[in-house]
Amino acid sequence: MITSYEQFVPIVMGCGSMLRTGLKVRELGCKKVLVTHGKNLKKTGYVDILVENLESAGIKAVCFDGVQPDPPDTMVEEAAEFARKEKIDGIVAIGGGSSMDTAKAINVLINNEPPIIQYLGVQKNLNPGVPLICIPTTSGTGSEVTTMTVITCTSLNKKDSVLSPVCLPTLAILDPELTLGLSPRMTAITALDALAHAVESLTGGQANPLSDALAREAIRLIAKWLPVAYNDGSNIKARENLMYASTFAGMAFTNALVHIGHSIAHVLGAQFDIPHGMACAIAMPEVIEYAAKTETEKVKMICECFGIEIDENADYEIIGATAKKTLRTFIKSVGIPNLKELGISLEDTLNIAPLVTQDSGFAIAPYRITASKVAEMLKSAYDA
Amino acid sequence: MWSKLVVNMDNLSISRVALEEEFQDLGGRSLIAQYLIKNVPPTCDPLGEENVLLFATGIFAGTRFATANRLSVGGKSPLTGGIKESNVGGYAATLLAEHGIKLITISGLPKDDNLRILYIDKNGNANLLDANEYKGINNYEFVEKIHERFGKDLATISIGSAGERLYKCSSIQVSEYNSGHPSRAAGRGGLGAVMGSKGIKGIVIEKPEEKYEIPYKDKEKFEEICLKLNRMIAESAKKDPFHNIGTISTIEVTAPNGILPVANFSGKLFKDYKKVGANKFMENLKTRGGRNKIPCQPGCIVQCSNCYNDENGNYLTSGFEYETIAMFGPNCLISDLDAIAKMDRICDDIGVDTIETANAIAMCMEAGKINWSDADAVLNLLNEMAEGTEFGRLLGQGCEAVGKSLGVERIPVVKHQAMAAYDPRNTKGTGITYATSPMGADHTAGLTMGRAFDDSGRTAQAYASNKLQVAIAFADSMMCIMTFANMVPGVPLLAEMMAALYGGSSDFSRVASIGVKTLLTEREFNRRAGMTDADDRLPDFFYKERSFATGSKFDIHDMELRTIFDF
Repeated sequence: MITSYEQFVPIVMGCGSMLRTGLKVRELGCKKVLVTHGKNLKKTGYVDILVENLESAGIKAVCFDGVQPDPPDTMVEEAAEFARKEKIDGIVAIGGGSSMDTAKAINVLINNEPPIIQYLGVQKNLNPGVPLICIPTTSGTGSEVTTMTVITCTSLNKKDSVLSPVCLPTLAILDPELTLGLSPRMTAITALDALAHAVESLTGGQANPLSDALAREAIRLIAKWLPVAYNDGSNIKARENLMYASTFAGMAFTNALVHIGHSIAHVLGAQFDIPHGMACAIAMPEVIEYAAKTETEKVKMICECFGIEIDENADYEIIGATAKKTLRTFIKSVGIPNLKELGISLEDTLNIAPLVTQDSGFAIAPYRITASKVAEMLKSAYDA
Repeated sequence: MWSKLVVNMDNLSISRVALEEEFQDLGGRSLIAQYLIKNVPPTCDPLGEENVLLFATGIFAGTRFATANRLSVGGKSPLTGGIKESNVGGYAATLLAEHGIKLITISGLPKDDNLRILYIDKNGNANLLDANEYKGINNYEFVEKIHERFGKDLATISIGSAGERLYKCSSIQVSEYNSGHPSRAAGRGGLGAVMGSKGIKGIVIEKPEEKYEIPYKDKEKFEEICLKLNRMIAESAKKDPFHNIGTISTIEVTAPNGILPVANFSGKLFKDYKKVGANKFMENLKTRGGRNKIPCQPGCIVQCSNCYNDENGNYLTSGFEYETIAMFGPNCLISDLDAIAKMDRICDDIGVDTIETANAIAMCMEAGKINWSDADAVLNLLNEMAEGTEFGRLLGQGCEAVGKSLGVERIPVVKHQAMAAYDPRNTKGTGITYATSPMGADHTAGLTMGRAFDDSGRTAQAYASNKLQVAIAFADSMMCIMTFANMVPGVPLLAEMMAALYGGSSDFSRVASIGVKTLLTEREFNRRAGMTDADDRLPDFFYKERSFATGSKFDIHDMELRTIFDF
């Protein structure tokens, strides 16, 4: 099979690398940049350091501090209007996925007319934006290396993505020290988002040898270091490895894409307001078990990344069951509740199955399944 | 044969003898290293009678090779406690070579407190003259008085009041060709104090009536290669900012990248650097009748020196260099080029190293004794040094002494010598050179900036430092490094030139081995003086604090430092 690996973002990485931003942004020729961030991040002091670092390198910085979780289209349009008015020639996003996705959406709207909603889906002919620099402060989304931005369409009450080269950051800066303050819960939720990217891109139809290598390494690192960081948030080695795992997983999935796990997560998030990483984790064991039928070797790899040896003669059912058990044990070990524990009824849970099959990610599933099969998966995950 | 002038201050005797055969084809730094290890006990008191102060000309001294007449000054350093070679331009080495003198050794200590001048007249006779009338005067006045007394057809090597007071940061100033200004400094390592300890206020060298005939093995061949190299240097210098502007041009490279030290190596960028940058410098030269493209020694093609006038068009200083401007400027948060020029003038005049002194001043700012950016307060402190007040004398002991006395934790020294104008976190190879050079933190020992893949990265930094330290060690034995930088493709020809001059092998390994042997000898001297691995490290704060400009720390593994001279 002929496959391809096409999206690539240059990366500066290492503890303290956020302080490299000013010089790098100057190298990109920017004179005035928009810094996007959420209000909470301001309290950590990182935004002030970043702005001082930019200004000391001779770059003017204006801030958009109104980033909201699951960026609503109305918010990004307002931010883009601000950016256009300020005549910025670069964007620096600092924060989690929301901040980076907001920055990407702003970049789409810098030289393309709003509303953003008209650009949902794969866009090949958008006008280019400005240099975009992403500095993640969580280890989860991988947005710093991906071509997509996830936007909440307020009029439709659903999340959808714009996939475009305009969304691909010009540079990613990975400074693991920025994640030292994350709570155990946030650490787990974000890392499981990255794990979902890795296991789904490994088992997806667009997987390729390079994305596989990245995904496998991401799984290994998360399997080893998430429990460490979860129990000791100050362990910088664990923080470093999780951050790189998250980026590796991002690189993998922006090339190989994700599938049903994310379709389920999108619907769970929209219907029950469950954080994205947690929603990705809830039915991950069932999704990977399902994938084992056609992606047997890949699921075997997942088991091996967790240190589980699989018998040479094991069939896909055994492999799938092993993967399911392994993933569930791991997810539970970092405090992720099941749907029952979240107070959601079984009936409500099963009712979302048809919505999952309508999610755009469903198109790239390893093989087609019905809504009733999705319901079986949800039922299995419900109180597991 | 080249000769050696032996001055013994114990009995005030002078003799001129043939230079030992083993030293004949050495010069500059390599000669100093070999002489010191054989003749000076490494554990001696640098200001005591066992230390010997050396003045050496280079391997190609007296020839037409560009900048062949650089002067190396050597001895055990009162600042580092190790070996020291500090080289300087100016006119003195040209005249020494014309006298056929390759080495002057000044040993012992006088029994009295009298000051003396070593006077070499036009016939090559050397005498010690009474110099008590010059006691306490500074370099500019000294040169003026010497010119009044002996005329201007001479070169001077002198110390100011700082050297007389045995300041550990005192320099030896050499007069510039043509102007005669004592603005060329053998600045590093406090050799001015060694000269002061020996009661020598100055060395005056008259232009000889008869030039020493250099005994070329093959003069025709030598001239042929020499011409080739000189042409190469001249061609390259046309594009060299050191020629077209001066060493101040370096700031345009270092300031934007966090290499320029700011506020005592805080690692920050200095937004106002253009106020002390190349354009401002050139504008001031132009509007005030100053000049650049001045050769400090005859025959220099690079001509990086300058003459800087004050706002009224009157001469203020010359040889106004990047290091001085960076360390008194951005490293003290000062952006007034005229004020910095005044500081340079005072330092040249009293005879102190601008790098060591400016770092000591930064210690005062870090400790809150004076405010950052306060140029007037700096000038006052320099005047205290000139006057020899109690604090002025402390400043004279250098950056480390001042920092410790004021309780400063961030003291940027290696082997007790203050760092030059390159932040070692953002040019890590230079940091490796700072750490491992036998000279202490020293930029002219192997500045790697722009030579490894990424100045703030680790790759190839130790490699670049090793190669450059070797290259500089042989370059310091035969020419000015500004010239060396303009003839890199012609480096193999140096060996052919040595063969044409002295005979023997024309293989490049002859030149390279001078570099290697010099470095290893210098390290051995330091080892015998009591230095250990621990002396080959940077101060802790460079390992712990990030540069705000780049996020970089000095994260070079000890093993890379430990193995740097494994040849």
